[in-house]
Amino acid sequence: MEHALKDKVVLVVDDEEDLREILAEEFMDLGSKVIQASSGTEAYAKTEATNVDVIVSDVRMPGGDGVELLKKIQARNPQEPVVILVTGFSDFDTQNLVTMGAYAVLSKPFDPSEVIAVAVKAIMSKG
Amino acid sequence: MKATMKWHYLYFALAGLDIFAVVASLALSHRMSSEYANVVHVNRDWSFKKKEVDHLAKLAQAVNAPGNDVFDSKNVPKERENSMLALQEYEAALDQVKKSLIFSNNSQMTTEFASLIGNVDNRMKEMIDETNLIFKFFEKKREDLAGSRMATMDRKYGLLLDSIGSIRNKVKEVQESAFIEQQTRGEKLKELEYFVAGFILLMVLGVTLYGRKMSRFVADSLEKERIHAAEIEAHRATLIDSAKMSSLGMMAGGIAHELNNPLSIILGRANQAARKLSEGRMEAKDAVEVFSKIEAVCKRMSKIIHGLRTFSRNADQDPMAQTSLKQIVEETLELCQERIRNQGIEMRVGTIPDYLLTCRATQLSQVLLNLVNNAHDAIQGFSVKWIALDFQLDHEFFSLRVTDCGHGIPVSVAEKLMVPFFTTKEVGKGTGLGLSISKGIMETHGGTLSLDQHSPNTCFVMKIPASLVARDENVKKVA
Repeated sequence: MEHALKDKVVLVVDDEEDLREILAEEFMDLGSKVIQASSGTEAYAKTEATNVDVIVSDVRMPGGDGVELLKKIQARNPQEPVVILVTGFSDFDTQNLVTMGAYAVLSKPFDPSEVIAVAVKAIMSKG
Repeated sequence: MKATMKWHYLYFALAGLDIFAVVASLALSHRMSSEYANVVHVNRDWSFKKKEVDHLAKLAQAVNAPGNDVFDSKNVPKERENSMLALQEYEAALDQVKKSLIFSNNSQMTTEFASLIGNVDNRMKEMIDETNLIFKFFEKKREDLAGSRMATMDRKYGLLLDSIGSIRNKVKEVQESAFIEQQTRGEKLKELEYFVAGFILLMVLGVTLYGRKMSRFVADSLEKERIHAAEIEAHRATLIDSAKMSSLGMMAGGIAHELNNPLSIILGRANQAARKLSEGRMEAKDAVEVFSKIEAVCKRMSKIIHGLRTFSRNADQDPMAQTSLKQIVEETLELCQERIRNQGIEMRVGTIPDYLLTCRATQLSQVLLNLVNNAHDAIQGFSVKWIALDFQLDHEFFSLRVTDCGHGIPVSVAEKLMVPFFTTKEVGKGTGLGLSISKGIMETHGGTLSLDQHSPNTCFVMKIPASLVARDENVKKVA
């Protein structure tokens, strides 16, 4: 049986290169196509150029944070792509971010398999 | 306040008592000396009067003498003339005695003296009458009759002397009674003297007690002042601590993020490596690479934690110790790196010189962090944001300059910058203590913290004496 994430386009956004690398590797292992961005602004530009299925983004980043990215994506199309936020420490509380349209909010430090499981759930819920 | 008022009244009461005691003793001494002068004067006066009366008695004898002498000389005209002359002299002396003794018409004493003098007058007339009778008998050549009157004349003379003696006795009596009266007054003054002495004793006692109370009061005040100073010192230490905690609080989010990121990396790398190794998809050299990455991340975390630990402890009592400038700057920047980077602020730090500073490293770190945090807050609105650190050593001072892209600080604000509780930040964002405490810290290092008004950008300068700076020889050797 094919994995739910196979051939899906996943955008990994974090200013920490190591973290992007770890997540990219996980998704690529499952057959996803992975794009990377180091800031919210860069990530949004990439969603304009490519059809993205899932965004996994850090919240605090220089040059446009994850919350800004979420707001812009929601303003353009509330349906897709789904946005999963991963926060190390945020002034926003989780419930707020979900209300704003985030599919889920995960906390750092995270287990990569946990991120995969949420991404799978998100893709399945879209049908 | 109430106690002060009581003391205030007691002070005036004592001053009043002192003035009274001094005035009373002066008045008493004046009374005593004038009393003494009076005694001397009265005594001399009455002694003189007594002499006048004695003199009168002698003159009376001179008046009586011609009445006897005529029996020998038989020369009546000559003896009559002698008698007349002696009488004139006697009259003059009597007038003087009258003037001396009859000086007030009202006094009882004067009346008595007047009556005694009247007696003397009568006795003298009676004696003169007898003398004149003797002279007449001699003129009529009746010596026998003259001889028979001689005894009568001498009797009259005896009576005259008796009456003069009465005056003398009266004078003596008056003199004695004056003396007794003065003695009584002296006794009264003596009582007054005891009274004044009592007051002086009371004054000395009061002053002694007051002085004792005052010295206790002063000692109490000094003790209170000492306690107050200790409280202020303790309060200052608490303020430094709270300002430090406030800057830590501002950075807490950044620090949490800064620690959670490497933790995620460790967790992710470890997970992946474990999985790949168990599936036989990882070679040893790849595993070693993963582990060295994990190690590097661990070192990064340990640096942050070390910085936090150093920063948060109380360094007030720390001895001055040689610390590498590089270590101070790097550890401090590590603490605020996340905040700086997050705001898109470029941190311009050139090569940090290999200096060893003799200092309380934690405190210098606190000042530097405070300046960088202030710069961070001040340049929020700029599109291109930067903060620069520069290092400079001349023969007098080592300077660490913290410059940001802002355009300086208005003079009106600059004047108040170092004043405690002055802040331009929004309510809740700044305590207004950071700069004043930082200034205090630099001053305890013998240095200064100032705003460089000549810089085109906002620039704060931390200075410590050049004598506290040494080259790090170890680094040189390694290089």
